[in-house]
Amino acid sequence: MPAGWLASILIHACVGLLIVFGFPWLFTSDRDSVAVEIVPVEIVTIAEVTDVSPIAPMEEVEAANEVPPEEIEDEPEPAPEPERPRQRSLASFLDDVTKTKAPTQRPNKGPRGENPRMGAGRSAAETVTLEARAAAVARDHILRNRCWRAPADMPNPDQLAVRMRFRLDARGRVVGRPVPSRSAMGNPELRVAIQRAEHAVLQCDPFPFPNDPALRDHYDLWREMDVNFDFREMSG
Amino acid sequence: MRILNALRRKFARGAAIAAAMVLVSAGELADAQAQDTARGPLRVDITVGHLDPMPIAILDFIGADASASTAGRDIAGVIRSDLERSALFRPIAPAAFIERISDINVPPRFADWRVLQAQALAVGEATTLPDGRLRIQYRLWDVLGQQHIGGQMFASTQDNWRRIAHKVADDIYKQLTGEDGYFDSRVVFVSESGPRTRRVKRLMIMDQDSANPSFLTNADYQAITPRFSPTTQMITYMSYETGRPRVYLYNLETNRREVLGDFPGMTFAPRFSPDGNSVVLTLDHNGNAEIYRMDLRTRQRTRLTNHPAIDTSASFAPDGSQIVFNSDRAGSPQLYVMGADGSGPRRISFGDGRYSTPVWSPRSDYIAFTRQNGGRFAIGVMRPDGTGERILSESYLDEGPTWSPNGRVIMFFREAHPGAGPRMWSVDLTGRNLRQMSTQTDASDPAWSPLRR
Repeated sequence: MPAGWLASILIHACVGLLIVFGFPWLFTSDRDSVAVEIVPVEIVTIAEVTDVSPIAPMEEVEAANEVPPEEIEDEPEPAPEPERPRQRSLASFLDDVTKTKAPTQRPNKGPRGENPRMGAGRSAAETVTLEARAAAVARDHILRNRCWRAPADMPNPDQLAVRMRFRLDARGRVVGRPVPSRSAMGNPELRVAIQRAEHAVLQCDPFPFPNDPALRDHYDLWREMDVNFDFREMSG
Repeated sequence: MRILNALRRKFARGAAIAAAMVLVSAGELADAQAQDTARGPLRVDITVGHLDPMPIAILDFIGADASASTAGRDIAGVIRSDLERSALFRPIAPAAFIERISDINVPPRFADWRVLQAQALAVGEATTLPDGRLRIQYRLWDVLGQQHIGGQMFASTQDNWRRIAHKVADDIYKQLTGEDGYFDSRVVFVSESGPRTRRVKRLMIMDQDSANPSFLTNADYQAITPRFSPTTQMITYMSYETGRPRVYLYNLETNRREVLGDFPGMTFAPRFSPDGNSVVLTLDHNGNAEIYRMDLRTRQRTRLTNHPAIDTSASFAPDGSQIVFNSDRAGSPQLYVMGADGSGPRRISFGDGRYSTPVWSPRSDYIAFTRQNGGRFAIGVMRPDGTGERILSESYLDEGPTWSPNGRVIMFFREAHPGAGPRMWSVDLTGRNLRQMSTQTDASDPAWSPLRR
């Protein structure tokens, strides 16, 4: 009995001590310092993802085009579920904290696409970099496949710039018709310039974003496209 | 106490980590939401394009009877040939076609044409009308856009089937380039035959694709320098049928000919004004050549240049406000532009060599010319202010440019080497599409007609 009482008193005392000392600690500057350091952890993590390597070579792009054509869908496919942050162990989390405290020990950038953390959790810097990559992929795709017949044969091609807005489904396929930024308004040259810009989009359908390791999980980046066809020079 | 401290540390650390993870997740969520709401479409700038020939499928036009079927097949062949020769289109070989179309009013299976890389599809139907005439209906489909973009119907006599084909080709050209075509047009030129010492020069006319050639003048006298009116089927030319040079007007539709006038001294290079109501020409008085304008209705002459140098080869701008001409007033033949009344002449050519035979494009954006430099002759273009000079072709002798009605193609004549007879060639504004015209005899000094109506 005395032993039981003793144990009970001890346990209650422990609980009391934890309440007294543990909870107030959560609101001390110690916790704030940990939370502040978490942001750089994200930067370290993103740095590996945002290693934008050169645009995929032609073989890669063509490989993307070899996906057998499928039925055209009226509606865009739902976006792939963004890959949620992996459940990480306490040890790995603490490792990250350690890394933030020693930024010079940041690992070298690995090949693109290595980082498993992709999806909604992007910093502004990563978004900017990925957008630049996506734009480069689109440009490369249109140029390599010679999709755009420029209005270079018309009297004033510099006045025939046309923007085309369109939507892609998650497989990179054009959904519906591209919408031009301008109306021909009875101008036959502008009408043809609009027609050629539309043809460029349709001829380049599908776009190879799903085949790009760094972009395939960022559908939100390339779901809506706004391509400005503004002739400056002839391709070789 | 040590145990308590340990417990305290562990508990505190765990609670802090849990709180931090909650904060991280909340932060990521907020960040993602902010990005989703703020992000617009992905913006891409495309500034580099190509001008490869557009792949187009042109089916043999359907015919209800044997004669209509033959006409339909022949018409489709001429359309393919016209478009292919422009170098802006690449007609796909009919043997590759998958879909057989029996009703031109039913939308085609676009996938069957897209797999052939066709971007446009032309289908048509030929019908023999009760009065014996030929009726042609055609439709143009945008394969990539999967829509109908053009179609017309023509009716004419059976023997006029080539003109119908050219008109269909012109319509396809306009629908797909935004510019008028040039296929339903003709060329007048000097047909040359016989030995060099007794050369016979006769005017000949043919379609722009070399079909239907026929002589306009006979072999009894020399006829040279034909020039087309930019608006009517009328030409001017010089003839020696009376033994001395005279300028004639020749209406090709009425086959009526009249003398423009007897002029003292030599007369050179008459050209029509854009409205067709007057001509500019050079009159040579005692070795001083000056440019005059003559009203065709009143036959009154107005002197436009007054300079001791040789002024010649005048050509109007399409709006009639300016004239480009050739003068050696700076020591060697160069190009000058002046007002239509002769005011404010200014030199526009400053390259190496001697410039001559300027012709203003019907599109008004360029002036074509002949340039002689280093013993070779070249055909080139420059803008009316003298900038953007480009040489399109060069040989031992390239000379006498004339513009297609849409200002996209230039025809000229070439003597490939000393002693070679002249032959006519065409080249487009890019200089890439250089082709020899098919003529039965040697041919020089071409003049391209406006589109026929």
